[in-house]
Amino acid sequence: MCLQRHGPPRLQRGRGALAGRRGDDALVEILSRLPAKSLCRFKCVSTSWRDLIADRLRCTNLPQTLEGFFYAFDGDDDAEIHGGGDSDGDDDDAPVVCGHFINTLGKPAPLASYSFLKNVLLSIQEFGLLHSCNGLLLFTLRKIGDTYNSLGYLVCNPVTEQWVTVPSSGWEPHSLHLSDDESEDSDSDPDPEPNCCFTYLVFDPAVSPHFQLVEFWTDDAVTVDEVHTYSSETGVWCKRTSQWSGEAVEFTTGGAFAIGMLLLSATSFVNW
Amino acid sequence: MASAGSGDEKAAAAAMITLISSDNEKFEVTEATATLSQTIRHMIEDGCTDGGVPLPNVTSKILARVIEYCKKHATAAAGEEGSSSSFSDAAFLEVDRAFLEELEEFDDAFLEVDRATLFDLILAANYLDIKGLLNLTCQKVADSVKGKTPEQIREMYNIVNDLTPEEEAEIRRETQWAFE
Repeated sequence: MCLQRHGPPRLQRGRGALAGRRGDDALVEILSRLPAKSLCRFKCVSTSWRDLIADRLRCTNLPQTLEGFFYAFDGDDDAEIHGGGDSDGDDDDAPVVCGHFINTLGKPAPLASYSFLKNVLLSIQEFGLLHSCNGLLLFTLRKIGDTYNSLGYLVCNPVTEQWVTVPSSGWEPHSLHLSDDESEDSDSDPDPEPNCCFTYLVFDPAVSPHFQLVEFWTDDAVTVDEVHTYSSETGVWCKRTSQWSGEAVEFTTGGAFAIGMLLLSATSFVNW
Repeated sequence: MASAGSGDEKAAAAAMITLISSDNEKFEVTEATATLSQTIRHMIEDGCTDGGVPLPNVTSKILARVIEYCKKHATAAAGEEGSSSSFSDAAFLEVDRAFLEELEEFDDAFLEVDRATLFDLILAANYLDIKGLLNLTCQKVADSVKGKTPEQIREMYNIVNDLTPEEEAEIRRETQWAFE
């Protein structure tokens, strides 16, 4: 029969109930039009709903296609840094955002997908997109005018719109100490190498619902002086003894979190 | 309306297709109407429609509604095609907008059915592969369940919760954010 050749073979006549296997195809069609939050909640309806949502829907109807990407910039361009300055006209009070979302059509969305953050941040703050890992985004938080993350970090999930702040690890640029504590004799000081801090977000939802931050403190942007880690489970920063003195890590090329490891490129072998 | 009339004439000149519902009722429709269904379009292309198209999964009540939808949307599509060459851009846009508004009103009224009928329409749209109808009906259901709790869903659709308390707790723990 022609009809059987072309028609979806599994669909049987339904009786107006969303229960049971016979309406699976139709149910998938409906579920695929729901937002993520409803979908996760509806896993609790029954085993068949749970299995459809967990397996079939995710694999077949919700393919992991690239919607777009976030990119960060240092905020030098005044015209661009007022992310979310789209409509409400309260730009003066809005926190300054350094970062953008660009969809696959090449259209930049001024942080529309995390504009909700505007409501939770004080107007004196700036936040800049720093890193991302498996669906979480890491932002630096600073007072306007500061050059480093004086207020720590903010980690958010743009899908669930959940966010948490992370206190500062205590890292500060040397120049602060110079101006605050040694201002009397700073004239004679040769300008020291600027110290830096490179931060990575580590998160694998398959392993743990908690994320970690790894900070590399360095005086010359290549040699690791100290490593500090933060776990969202414990909520505290820990200083780790650095084993890598003398190794030149190329932080500026970025890092990647894969197969449970944070991978960084280095000019000599780094066992990390 | 002139444009709608030309659409009808065009369709009348085309071949008629007979659709047969599960309860053996016959529906004569134009090819333009029938081919909104990809399933039937393929059959027409394969020359499998002589003697009528049996649709054992669709009752006459539901098939009548489906045909009503297809007729309206096929007419609208034909009208748009016909008008695009004979109107100036501004006039075309005007007609286009009127069509869309009329179509939207039709769709809204079309969705004024009970839950069981709506779900039967989804099954039929899925089976017959009618993208527009499937989207329309599924979106309607999706919108109606979006903010509901699992308990409300079970009640609305008579679903028995066969999850063990442990399984349910596991799901809630995994995606706690979704329940807040």
